Amino acid sequence: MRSESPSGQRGDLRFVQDVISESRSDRERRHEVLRRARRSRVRARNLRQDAVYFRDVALAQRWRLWSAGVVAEPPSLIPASWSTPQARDVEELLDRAATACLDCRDATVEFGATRALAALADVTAGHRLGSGHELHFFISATARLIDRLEPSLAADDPEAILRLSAMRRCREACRAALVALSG
Amino acid sequence: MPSRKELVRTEILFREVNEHIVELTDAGQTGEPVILLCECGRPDCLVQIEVTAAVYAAVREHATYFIVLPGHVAPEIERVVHREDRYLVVEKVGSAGELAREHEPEG
Repeated sequence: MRSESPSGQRGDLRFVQDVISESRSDRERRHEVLRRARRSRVRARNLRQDAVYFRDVALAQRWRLWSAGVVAEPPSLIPASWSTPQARDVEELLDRAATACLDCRDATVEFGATRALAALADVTAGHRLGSGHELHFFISATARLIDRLEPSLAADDPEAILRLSAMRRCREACRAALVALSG
Repeated sequence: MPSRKELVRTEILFREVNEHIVELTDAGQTGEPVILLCECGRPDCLVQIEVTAAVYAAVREHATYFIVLPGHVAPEIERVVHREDRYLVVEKVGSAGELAREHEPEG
């Protein structure tokens, strides 16, 4: 029912504005949740692939040790193929670097001394689909900024250890991506 | 030796990172300190500079102004417009200025 008095109309207008504003903030929250879910899926997929990759590497090495007579017992698993696991392609390495950068950002953003790194890592991840020059620049800068910051950061509590660990993983992923980009 | 265009491009990329640092710091335009990266044209620089959010906001009002460390000025593309002990504010000139304006951050 519509209000006829001016004060009632003002109330209606305010109500409509509240509804619009609430709906807008709901939409933003929904986008944020979807974005996080997408990132979690990508991270889970990467971790699964990592697990398979490292299992294969370990298996190949155990078979090699047995073949060389270093260990007496053969591995209990037979590898699906005898070829050495192949290096991953550039796109996959870039995906990994971008994911590692997002993890690094999350781990470093709340700490003043590493906030510049958090911003750089975030920008790097955002340029994952960007042009060659810019992507190379940001990945390289991220790895080098971690090199620069790492010696000054103490690992004296669990949070600091997690932060350093995320930074190191990010640096490794960035270096691997850089090697792939250069090759 | 990087070309003039490469120098400006590098500085623009560092400016993009600094914009994001300020967003993450959430200091607005206050006297809160913000730790930025030197916006010079050396891709291997990555030295941090501490300024207040207000100083940074004042610099960003000009599309052609950048914050660099003393000694990191590239005279072929920029001139110093403000000096402090810990940092300098430089203005891109000529085609470097046009490029900086072209890539000015939004907002």
